[in-house]
Amino acid sequence: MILTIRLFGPFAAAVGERSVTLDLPDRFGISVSEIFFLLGEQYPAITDMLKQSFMAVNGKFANTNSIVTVKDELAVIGLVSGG
Amino acid sequence: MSTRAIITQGPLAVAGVFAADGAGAIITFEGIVRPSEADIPNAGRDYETNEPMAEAQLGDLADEAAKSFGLLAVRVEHSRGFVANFACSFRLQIASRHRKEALAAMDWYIDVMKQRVPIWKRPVPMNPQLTDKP
Repeated sequence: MILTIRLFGPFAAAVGERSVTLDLPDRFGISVSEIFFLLGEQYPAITDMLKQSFMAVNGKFANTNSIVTVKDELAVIGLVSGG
Repeated sequence: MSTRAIITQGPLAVAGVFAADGAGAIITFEGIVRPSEADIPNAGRDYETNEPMAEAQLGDLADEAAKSFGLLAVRVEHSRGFVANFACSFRLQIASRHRKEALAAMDWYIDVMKQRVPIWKRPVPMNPQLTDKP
């Protein structure tokens, strides 16, 4: 399965893309913590930033043990700076 | 109790009428774009938002503030995209029966917003061709 994860702000700047994909073996789903681990492996530049970040799943903050699938809309949310 | 959250493109327009029945205090905070960051002059700020999550989060925080502090009304507006120096990019209006809860809620809201709401700002240089990064 291929997961697409949207990036914003400093994540997008560090990776140089507005979204990234993870190509994973087919299975029911994957946890948010596993996604963060795989993102860190694939993009070492964001490993430290991921430690202070959250995953948004379908527009809501998710726990690290939440299971997501290809049907979910995913976005990494970290180091926000509005106002 | 009423709450409203809006994200709009570019600088915020001048504030409209904001009122609530029974209010003895109405306060408005406006965030204005600084003309420099770390002593480096800039043309303005660019605000990136994850929508519709950002607007929903602003609204959820408004609801939470209203309930926690016993407010009568909360209205919040935030910009997306480019906002030039000295223009308004954020406005929070709170109505309450007394000033203390409104002032406390104002401080709380802005602190929590900066932790939870998926909005990112970056300074836009005076001459993007020389210093801007992709």
